[in-house]
Amino acid sequence: MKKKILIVDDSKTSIFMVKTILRGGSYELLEANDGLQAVEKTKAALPDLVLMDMMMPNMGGLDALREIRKTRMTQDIPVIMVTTKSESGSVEKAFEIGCSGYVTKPINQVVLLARVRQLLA
Amino acid sequence: MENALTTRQGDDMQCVRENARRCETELLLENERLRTRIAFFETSRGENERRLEAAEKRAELADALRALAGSLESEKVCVQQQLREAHDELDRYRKERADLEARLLSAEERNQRMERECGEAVAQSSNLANLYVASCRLHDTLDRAAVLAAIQEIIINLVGSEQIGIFELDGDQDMLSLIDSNGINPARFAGLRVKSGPIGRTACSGEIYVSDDAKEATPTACIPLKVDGRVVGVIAVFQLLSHKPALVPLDHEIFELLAAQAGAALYCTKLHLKERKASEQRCETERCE
Repeated sequence: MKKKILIVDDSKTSIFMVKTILRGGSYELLEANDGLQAVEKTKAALPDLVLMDMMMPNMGGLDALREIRKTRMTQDIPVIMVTTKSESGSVEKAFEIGCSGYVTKPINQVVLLARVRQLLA
Repeated sequence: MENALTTRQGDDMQCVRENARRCETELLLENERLRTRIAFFETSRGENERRLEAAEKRAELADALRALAGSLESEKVCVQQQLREAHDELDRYRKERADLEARLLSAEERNQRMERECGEAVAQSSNLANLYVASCRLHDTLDRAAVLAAIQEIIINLVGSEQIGIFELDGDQDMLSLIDSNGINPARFAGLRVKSGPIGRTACSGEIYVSDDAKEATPTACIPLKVDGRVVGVIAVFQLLSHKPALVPLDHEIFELLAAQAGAALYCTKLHLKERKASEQRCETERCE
């Protein structure tokens, strides 16, 4: 069965980029455009992995991550933050809330694929 | 005469007796000497018998040693043969090892070359993915706002800068107007003269400008927006993200792509808008008639 990956980003370019990178990996790719959609889709589809942007309208990535970690059904789903924010404060906060990995933009294809494969292994 | 005879006989007798005594003494001495010699010979005989016995033992031992030496000699020949064979085998192994080492070295070199080529292929694939995404995003809409958003997203997500200004040349071709921006103060760039500063000079030259040590509020890169080789605007990229120390070759390729395609994409949105308005006017006119 194909592993499900939910890509959360308000940027179409970013979603397109991540989809292009993961296309060869035979994953089922879902998408959400903000934190609220991300929480809803995570609860509904129970993906194997979530790739989450941080800065988004309606609900940011960190709040969405917090919500995902609160729900028993979704609390163990690995979440990788994919973001332009690389300051140590942002990284620490994301890991405090419970993210499983952190990838900065511009996305390095090799790094992203390695993290995804590692978490889906 | 008789007395003389008697005397002479007595002397003779005496002489005979003395001779006999002397003879007896000598015989006794001789006997004693012979006994001593016999005793000596008896002693010598025991000694000789012991020596003989020892010599026999030595001869037996020598025979055994000779037999052992013979056996050892044949064993030595056999061992020498084995040693020669072992040497030959060792030589074969050495040659085989040298051959294997040469093959290993060659395989390692091939492996390194493949790894290098694989790395290059991955990098190339990654670059192509970036260019493909950028190109697709520029042309998947005829909505001007969406194209401007796509340009910004390309700079933010693929190049790595959140400070962007998109300028358009006015009709007289001497002023640049800021039509969209992110992360900069728009008031500072409200109206820029062509030929003035890196942005204006880029509009004039039509060449991509890149600065290796851009200060705050000065562009890191200026990309001309071209339609049919004519400059219609400029994209200015200011500070890069903090974790991106400098532009990389891929960024230059993205700039080339933006220079060639972003202007055309924006121009298409204008044409589309014009065509839509014209179409709406035609419809309106037809309705009025």
